[in-house]
Amino acid sequence: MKKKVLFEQGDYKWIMYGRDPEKSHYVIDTNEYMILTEDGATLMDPGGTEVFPPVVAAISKDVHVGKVHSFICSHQDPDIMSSLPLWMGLCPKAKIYMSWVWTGFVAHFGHEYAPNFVAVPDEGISIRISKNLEPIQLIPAHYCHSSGNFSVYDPNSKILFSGDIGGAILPNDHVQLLVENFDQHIQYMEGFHKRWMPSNKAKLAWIKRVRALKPNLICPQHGSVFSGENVNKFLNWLEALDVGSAITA
Amino acid sequence: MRVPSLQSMIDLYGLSMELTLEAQRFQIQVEELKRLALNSEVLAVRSGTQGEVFQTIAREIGRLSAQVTEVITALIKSVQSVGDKAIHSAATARLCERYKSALDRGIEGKTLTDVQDRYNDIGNGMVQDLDAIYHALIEASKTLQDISRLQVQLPMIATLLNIEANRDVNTDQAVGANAKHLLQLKQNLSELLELVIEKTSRTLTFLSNLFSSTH
Repeated sequence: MKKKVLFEQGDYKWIMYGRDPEKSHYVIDTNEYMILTEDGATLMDPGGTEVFPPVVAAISKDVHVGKVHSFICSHQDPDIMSSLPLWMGLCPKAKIYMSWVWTGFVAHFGHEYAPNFVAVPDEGISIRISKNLEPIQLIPAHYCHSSGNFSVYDPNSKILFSGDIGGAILPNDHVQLLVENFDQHIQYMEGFHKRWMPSNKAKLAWIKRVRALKPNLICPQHGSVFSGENVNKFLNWLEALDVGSAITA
Repeated sequence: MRVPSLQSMIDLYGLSMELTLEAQRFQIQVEELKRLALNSEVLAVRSGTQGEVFQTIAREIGRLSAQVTEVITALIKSVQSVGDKAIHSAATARLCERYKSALDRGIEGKTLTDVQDRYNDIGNGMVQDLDAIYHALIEASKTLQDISRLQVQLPMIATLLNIEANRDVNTDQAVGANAKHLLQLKQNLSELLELVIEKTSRTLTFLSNLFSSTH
């Protein structure tokens, strides 16, 4: 599994894991992100059961999993969080943040961990992940694509984890973890956004929020990370894109 | 101890489902016997003072019906317990298989001990589940012997009914039909019993082989 340190300042790091070469061709490729601080680790969209073995193996090289104190799930899809029962077997005290919309549904993966759920209200919340850092923020991204959906913004590193927004379905031989040529990258994300994102209104509300934050990186759960000028290129491209294509089916 | 594979637990679940489905068919036979018991009681009352022997036979059918109901309820409880444990084990085996796969990928540091401990804990839980399944199957086997013992009484009661039918011209046809139904019921029970014994035996053999491969 590939790994990239996206930000590093002493013990405080943002690490991306993805592109497992041994994954089954039946499952969509996913990126998992970890924020590591001196006070423990936070995993964002920990992934599905299929990718749990490579993800836990990769993460074990950076941190003892017992240090994971928080899981943040952008939404409820199986590729986002079906591995939670496996993770909770290893870090049973960790909190699981997700939209209040999904807690009752996600409990179907294993209700024994439901007491660890933190039901995030629609307006989002701030989470202090380390005593020496500004809290990270769960930013509303509802209907992009899920009805209860959040992005995660870290004001310390100015990194935005965007969940499925910005996602791309890349060919197997695609190696770059960061978008290098935005125009070429469009082909991998255009169909995904047109079909998976249901609402232009919701999309525009999210773009407005994100523009105000001025992130340095936008990190999606599928595909490659947007950095530098590609952040604005992506926001502009998404703004102009007409989504909800299946409405005319 | 070796942890049973996911595939073996799925196979065990399949066998337990086959057993559950077949064993549940006993319910139909129980309902039929209850109906015959009630029918015989009604006919016996209609026969009045001339039907005292017939009333005794009707009571005997009722007693037998109650006993069969009790043992079949126990059988179904046992096989349902087998099914419940088997589905739990199959789900657990899936978790175990994922942890095993993670270990094969090369876990490092303190996390290695955590994953190994978790894998072993789940594996031990699965072995306990298998043990519980084994005991539930043994219980089911004992209950099947009880059913076998009870069902042999049906032809004897049918013979007595036929004798009574020949003595009472008012109820002879209905009583004769009850006797015929009892014999048919015995036939159905025997066939079903044979099938369920075979399924129970197959599941027990599978489980024994599984035990051998995990120790």
